Amino acid sequence: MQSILETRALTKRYGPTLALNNVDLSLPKGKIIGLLGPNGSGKTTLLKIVAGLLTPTNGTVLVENRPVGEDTKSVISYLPERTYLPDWMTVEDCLDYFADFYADFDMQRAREMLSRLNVPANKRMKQLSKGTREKMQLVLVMSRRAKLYLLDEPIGGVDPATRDYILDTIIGNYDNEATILISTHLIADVEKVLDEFLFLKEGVITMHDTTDNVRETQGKSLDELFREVFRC
Amino acid sequence: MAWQFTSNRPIYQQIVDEIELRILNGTYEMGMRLPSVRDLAVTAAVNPNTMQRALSELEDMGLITTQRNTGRTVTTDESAVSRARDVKADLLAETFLMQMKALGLSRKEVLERLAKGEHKEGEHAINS
Amino acid sequence: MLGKLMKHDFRALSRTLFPLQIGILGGGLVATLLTALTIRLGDASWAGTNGSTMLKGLIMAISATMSVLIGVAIMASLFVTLILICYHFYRSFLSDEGYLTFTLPVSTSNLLWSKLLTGMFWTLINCVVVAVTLLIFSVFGTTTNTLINMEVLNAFKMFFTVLLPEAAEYVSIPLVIVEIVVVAIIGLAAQILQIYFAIIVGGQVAKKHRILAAIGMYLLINMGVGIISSVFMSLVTFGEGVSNLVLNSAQEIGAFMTTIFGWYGVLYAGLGVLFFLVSRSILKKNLNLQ
Repeated sequence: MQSILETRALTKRYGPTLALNNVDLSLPKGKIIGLLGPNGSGKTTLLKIVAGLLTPTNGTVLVENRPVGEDTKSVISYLPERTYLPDWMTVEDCLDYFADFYADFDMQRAREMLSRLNVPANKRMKQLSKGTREKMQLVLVMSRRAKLYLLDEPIGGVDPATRDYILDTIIGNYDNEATILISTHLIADVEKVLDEFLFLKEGVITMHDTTDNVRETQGKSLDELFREVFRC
Repeated sequence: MAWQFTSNRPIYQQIVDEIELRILNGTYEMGMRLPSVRDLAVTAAVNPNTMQRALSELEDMGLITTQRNTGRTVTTDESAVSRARDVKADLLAETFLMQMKALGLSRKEVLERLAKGEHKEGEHAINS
Repeated sequence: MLGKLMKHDFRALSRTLFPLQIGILGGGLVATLLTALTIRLGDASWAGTNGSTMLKGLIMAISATMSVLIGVAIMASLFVTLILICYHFYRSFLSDEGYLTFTLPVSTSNLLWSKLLTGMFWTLINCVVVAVTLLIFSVFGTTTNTLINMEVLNAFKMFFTVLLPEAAEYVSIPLVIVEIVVVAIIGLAAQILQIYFAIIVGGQVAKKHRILAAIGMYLLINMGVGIISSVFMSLVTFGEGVSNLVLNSAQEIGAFMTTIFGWYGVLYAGLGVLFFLVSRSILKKNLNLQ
């Protein structure tokens, strides 16, 4: 199967700390994949490198066989774990911004989702609560018809109702040609939506398998396996 | 409402069981058109690929059929449904009997308990 | 994509810079009125009581102070405009907004071009607004008994009817004008690129206090630019044979000045290109957004 994302010997060093250590990775098209590991295991670093926000210390990253750059950015939809839309922008400004730069942005879909969220188009980002802002960002990211979605901790620190909203939005917008890479440490909540998973431990991929396979061969859930593997 | 799943079996198998049950008990009537994969996945709060896999399995079992234009419908073939019901019932009975045997109950005792259970269920029905 | 980038950079900058220009014009008008009032009060024969004389003095003092303050503010606006342009650059490239900027499917060159062109545009607009404001002030705010200060107008008239034709005998006026405009634009571009470059390097060397680091970097780079400029210009003037050049006619002085000025253009262009290329290379090869 052709892969959407490949890394070879990918290494990232921050001074003396090794955030990613020789990561070899090949992710197939059309899957929802969990990037699972405790805090500080290198999940965010990996996603930021693929998104083009960090330069690797060593190794290569290929998205659809192309190195990270203008081309790959047009097929990647990235949700960082922080709010990054400028304060002064209105909802309408943000929609306009995404529509201008991303050819795959589906304006109608974005508007539908926003109307369900009851976010008025003339509100500025600074007038929205942090939670609404995060949902707004998710709506923008999931309204693109991208080939690779990178979602960094989309359900970290949200209430159960919001978590359901976020997972619904992800499932409801998923098209089975695309691959979604979701990083999280909350396994139980995302387990049902994952085809495959990666365990990331101290910058090293320790396991890459399908969720069905874990249940079939080990008779346990991913959450249980995670607790065993990452036991302190 | 998201569907509930146990942790020890693949989710697609559990979805197959759930939909099969709904067809066998008539919640999904014969010939009924099923919601789209995406809608079913959102309702069950599972991965659309997983839902797709479960539906293919059900198709192989002959419980649902796919038409080019109308999408997926529950089969209208009664024999397929009753066959599936037989298989399921046999499996449950077998499991039940094995568990009873493991408890050390004789065949007679098991039958007595079943009769008692049936009686109780009848009472429940009257009371409720 | 450059057009779209510029559209959004322009929108972001206009939000603060447009009101600022309106403020400059408004402030200029107020200062003009106040100064005109002060002059007229000082000039008018004031036949009144002691109390009203004091009031007159007070009004004059306040008006004069106000118009001086407004004048200073208008001059400072040139600086404020530049600060706002740089702050926009800093936010887009180094703050959380960088997550948006650097995941756009656009080239690093275009990101820089857009910031450069929109920054230059607003700086030029600001210069025009300040010039117009000063013109209004000098024409309407500096006379005693007429509405318009004829002396100022006469000075302009003198410039065009006497000075320019006189200068035209020594240099080609259109050529000089074109040269001044071109060198000024190149110089502006180089100056803005130097600041952008300082911000980028500041972000590379410091994890905290990155604005301070950028300012430090700017001063450091400025020293380097100073050295390069003086070396370059000494070489150029030496090359032009300044040591044995005898400038004894106005034509020769004119020609010499034009050449030297042209070389400044070359220097700024070189520095600008250097800043642009190094900035782009850092952003491409060593981007590490926190």
